[in-house]
Amino acid sequence: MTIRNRKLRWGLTLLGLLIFCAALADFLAVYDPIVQHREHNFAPPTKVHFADAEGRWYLRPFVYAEESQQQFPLRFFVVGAPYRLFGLIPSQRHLLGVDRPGRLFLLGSDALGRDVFSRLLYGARMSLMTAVVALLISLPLALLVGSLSGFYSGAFDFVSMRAIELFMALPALYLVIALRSALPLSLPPDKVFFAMVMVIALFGWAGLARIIRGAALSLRERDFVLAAKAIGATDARIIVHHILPNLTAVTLTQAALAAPGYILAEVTLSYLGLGVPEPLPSWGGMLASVGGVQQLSAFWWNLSPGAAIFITSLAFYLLAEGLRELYDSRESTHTFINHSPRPE
Amino acid sequence: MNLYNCGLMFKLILQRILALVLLLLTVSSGSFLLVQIAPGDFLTEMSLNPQVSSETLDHLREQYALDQPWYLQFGKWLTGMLQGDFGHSFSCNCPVSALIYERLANTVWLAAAGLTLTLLVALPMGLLAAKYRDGILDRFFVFLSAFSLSSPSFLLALLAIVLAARSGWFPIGGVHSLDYAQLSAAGQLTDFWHHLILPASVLALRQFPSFFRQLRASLIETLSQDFILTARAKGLSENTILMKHAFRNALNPLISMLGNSLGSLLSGAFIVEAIMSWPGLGSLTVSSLLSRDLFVLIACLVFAALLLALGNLLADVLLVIADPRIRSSRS
Repeated sequence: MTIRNRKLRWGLTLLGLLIFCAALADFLAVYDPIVQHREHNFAPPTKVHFADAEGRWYLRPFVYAEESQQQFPLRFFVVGAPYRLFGLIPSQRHLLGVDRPGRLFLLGSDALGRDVFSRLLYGARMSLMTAVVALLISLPLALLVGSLSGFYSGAFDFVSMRAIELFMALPALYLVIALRSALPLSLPPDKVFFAMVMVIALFGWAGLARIIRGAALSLRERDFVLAAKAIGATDARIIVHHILPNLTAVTLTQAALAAPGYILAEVTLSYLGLGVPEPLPSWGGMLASVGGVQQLSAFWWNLSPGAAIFITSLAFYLLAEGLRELYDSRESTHTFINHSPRPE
Repeated sequence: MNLYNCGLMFKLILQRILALVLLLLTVSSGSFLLVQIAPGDFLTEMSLNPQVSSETLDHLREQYALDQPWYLQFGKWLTGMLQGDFGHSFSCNCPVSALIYERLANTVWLAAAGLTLTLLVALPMGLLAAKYRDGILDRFFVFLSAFSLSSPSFLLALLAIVLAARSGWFPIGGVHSLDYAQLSAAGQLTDFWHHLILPASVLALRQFPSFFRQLRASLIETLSQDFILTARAKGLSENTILMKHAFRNALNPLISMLGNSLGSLLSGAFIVEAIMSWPGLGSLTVSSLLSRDLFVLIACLVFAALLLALGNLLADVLLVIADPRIRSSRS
């Protein structure tokens, strides 16, 4: 299947690449993201050479060990820290590596000598997981509340709309912090992750539900719903077979618009020390652990999580724009797609 | 505006203020409930401090009814708040009101400066893009806005402080220099603006794309309408048509958008405050959460809701002023 919309194609490609990196983080990572190479803190990105000082060219690229002329060729499928691929297949092989004492820091190392590249890959897993799990919670909730209140628009609509307004009465990040305040500050990492995702989903469902309600409200007036009613379809059947399928466009677009917001919330929480705790890698935590402006500006490679956030946002932005254009071009059946970008 | 319109406006504002009071009640009682779910007493943190005597703790416990259920605490807090007392900050051992007003002012300054910069950038860009539609300038602006729309304020704020650190053009963090007290009045003002400009620019950089895109889209739509054709047929210059006919008609969605974007403006300000160490409401919220200083946290949440609601109210009033059609439809 070829995708003709350029934005959609690029968005999906970028997102696919990100998911690939996150899923295969164990294999792609050069080092264990938690291991500290103590004597190599704030090491700059290791230069990969193809030619030595005398100008001789090598087929196999190599790196120099620090302060020596010893060459360490780049090797593929090296044996390193053990892991389970996808949590199932046990393995020790990593895509890239060099023999010790050579080091391969593709994006340098951080204050504690941990490999930034490896941490970045694991951080991608954290951020994408947050977005996916938060969407899995907030989307069904929003679809349920939105479609029911749009379809029935009576007392239920009134109550749910007031609830939504209450959720929108606080700026998103203030709301996240307020919800986070109901949970203990220090928890085991898996519980923190769960708590964080719940908080993000709870803050995210309201905006989605409001837009879905608007779409459902306009769908209710359409002829095919009237026709379904005329042949005696039950409300449940109308909602499941006629309303929900027609909400696909608006739901997908809004999900793509909401996802970077969720990731940003995760990054912000981690940056503030309210997310998954160190030493587990997360983009926000990586940025926070650099330890201040001076280090950040002197060791620029520590800004790479920022670039990763940018690429992720760009992927979702392109995806959302592409989806919108795709569905807009079929305007005859989908006239209700919300055009305003969702605030982060 | 005539007397009739003033009456209408008054009614609108009165309605909204009633809704606002209800909203604030819900937000504050909700915060109390949330805080109550959280483990630990208000005074847990404080009781660990050896400098605080147990009499003081007992006194505070009694004063804020901390040994009673949350709704009684809330009632106590509410009565205090109506008299301007937002409770006690347990970490700085001072009343919350002493902490919060300065922080609130800083956030308002940051958001207002950010919004002003946003409009200063977005309005000319939108007008130019719509005038030279599909030209090089238009395409460049659209590309720029897409680029900026997908760079999170997080990244922009980090890049900004790196820029400040490398170039030395801007101070890093804070609202005042160290020698602020010694400066003259004019010097103090310059100093404040010097500190404000970078965070506000970051905020504006993140906010301008949505305004630009909205203005461009509604200008293009307006320019295709019949009354523009009439204006052209009358022989008006393109600039007059753009400024006097199209722009005025395209302004309404922009004003509604102003109201809608305030939430994201405050969230953006939150991130900017956290990263660029601007001492505003957002950073106070975080520090109060981390130190379990719960009265401060609740006050922050209430003020954040208040800011957002007042901003929305302002946008509504602006809309009524800008659009005579809304005035007549309400009567």
